[in-house]
Amino acid sequence: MTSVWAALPVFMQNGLIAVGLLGPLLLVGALLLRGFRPWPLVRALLWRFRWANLMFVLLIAVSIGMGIGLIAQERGLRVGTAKAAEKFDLVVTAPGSELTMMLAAVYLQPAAVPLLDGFAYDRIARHDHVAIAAPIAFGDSHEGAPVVGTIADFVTHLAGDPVEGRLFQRSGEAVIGSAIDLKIGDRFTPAHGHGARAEEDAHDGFEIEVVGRMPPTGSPWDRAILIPVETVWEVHGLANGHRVEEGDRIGPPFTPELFPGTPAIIVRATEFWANYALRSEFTEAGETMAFFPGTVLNDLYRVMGDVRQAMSVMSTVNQILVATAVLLGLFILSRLFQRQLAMLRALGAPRRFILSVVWGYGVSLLLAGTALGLTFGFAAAALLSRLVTQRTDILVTASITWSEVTLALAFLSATSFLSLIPALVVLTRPIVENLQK
Amino acid sequence: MRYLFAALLFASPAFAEGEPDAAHLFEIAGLEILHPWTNATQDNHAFVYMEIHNEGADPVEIIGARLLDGPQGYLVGFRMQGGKMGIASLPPIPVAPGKHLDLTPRDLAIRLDGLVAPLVAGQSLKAVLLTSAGELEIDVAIESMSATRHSHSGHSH
Repeated sequence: MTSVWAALPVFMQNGLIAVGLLGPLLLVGALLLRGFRPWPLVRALLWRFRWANLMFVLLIAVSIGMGIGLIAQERGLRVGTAKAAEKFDLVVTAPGSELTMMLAAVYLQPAAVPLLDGFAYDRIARHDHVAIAAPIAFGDSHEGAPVVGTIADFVTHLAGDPVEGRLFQRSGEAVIGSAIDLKIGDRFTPAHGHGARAEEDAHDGFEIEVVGRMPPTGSPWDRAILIPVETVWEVHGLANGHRVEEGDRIGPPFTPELFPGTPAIIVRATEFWANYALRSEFTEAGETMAFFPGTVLNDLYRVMGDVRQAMSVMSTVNQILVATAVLLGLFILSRLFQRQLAMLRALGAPRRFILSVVWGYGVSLLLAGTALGLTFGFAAAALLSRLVTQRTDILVTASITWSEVTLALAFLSATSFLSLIPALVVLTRPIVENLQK
Repeated sequence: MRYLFAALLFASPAFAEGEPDAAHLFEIAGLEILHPWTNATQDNHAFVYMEIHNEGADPVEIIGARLLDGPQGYLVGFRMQGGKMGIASLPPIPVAPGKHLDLTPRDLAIRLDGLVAPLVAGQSLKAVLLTSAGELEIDVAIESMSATRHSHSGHSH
């Protein structure tokens, strides 16, 4: 049975789940409404108590919107962070915390990390299965944006060719991220360090010229300034990795003895399978540590999975509370028009007709609340995505998927079924007593 | 009382670590396979994980695996694509001398296809690891459906 289900196309699985969820609701509706036309009365009830009804619909909508908005946001954040790390197949660093190294190298979160020497870099860069071995040197900034030293091949690998200008071709040139507020031809002096304690005048005398702008990547690198790694070393008074006779040449190969060190090397293998062999080869006790950012993220997601489960439980509890409130609300609302219903019963209206009017009224409110809730959820997810993207530079695009729609349908189906209870209670009240109210 | 305390101390799991456990360690031509395991499953496929150390002098390629009763296994790698984890089959992966290769969930595994019966937690599976150094019979421990590591993972055997 499980394998039959798994073999079905996703759209068919979704369709069957929707039918399963809405089936009881449609069945109850068909049984109650058969042969009757209660909708003119339902419409009249909705209009007569429109403000109370509107509040009721808004209560349901806000509850559903919050629940599905948060779940969609969590998924959007997870996908966004994973996409931002996709260009970083394999990272080699000095031994330490993979998470710290990943946050520093992939998400440009400043961290004091040990350096790899030129011999380690040379061994990695010369490996037959390594296509790109990009040193990443960070520590400086410009107006809050990290200034990162690397090689031109990495810029192309990360973002493709510049959309404006060109790649850096000599020391002292920079390619800026898509969100950097500089223009081609602008010059700046990097500050030493990050944040409030960055030393603005530490590198006085060095000027870097902007020569290109990268296309957007949806990662924190959109707010970074990339310069030749040689420039980073030179502004810190270090050797630049090349012999004097090499002139102004930048980029690999570097002379190991003149390579001042790099906190991380981003490795792109010639083939996908080679990443595993390279990770094995470049992991040496006390020397180097190689890891896949995707795997570290996945471990992180596993922990986040517990948070997601907690959020789902909270959302479900929220829905149950709202369902209870809905039922109580329907009891109260049905009291508002019990006199009119008693009149109908006194005139000889069948009990099933009364039942269909009250139930149809309740379901109309629930249906409107659920539909509006999905809209609220979509809006909440979009708003939160924009806020998170602004704060983290990680492109988060949360959207409402079928799983959120399923959650909303489950709520609609369960509460619609339960709304039979207040409808049945209306029928138990004595007609005469209700007419006197 | 003092002797009782000492006896309890030496019998504790912390002191048990480091003891060799032949049931979890398999070897061929200097290639050591530690803690092969898989998750319990009702499906007709499973992923097998293990720690591989090459203590020999030559590189050894990990090719795949097969069960004694037929089903074949091949190497698969997990990678993020479009923000989601995908699976790709892999060619043999070499393990250099003195290096190790860990097959772990959501990273690298041997996928066994064509299982005819559910895998039950607590039991084990007889399999043959296929390497360039030869075939090696291993016992694959079946852990729970939600396990992320071998029960003895972290012990140095």
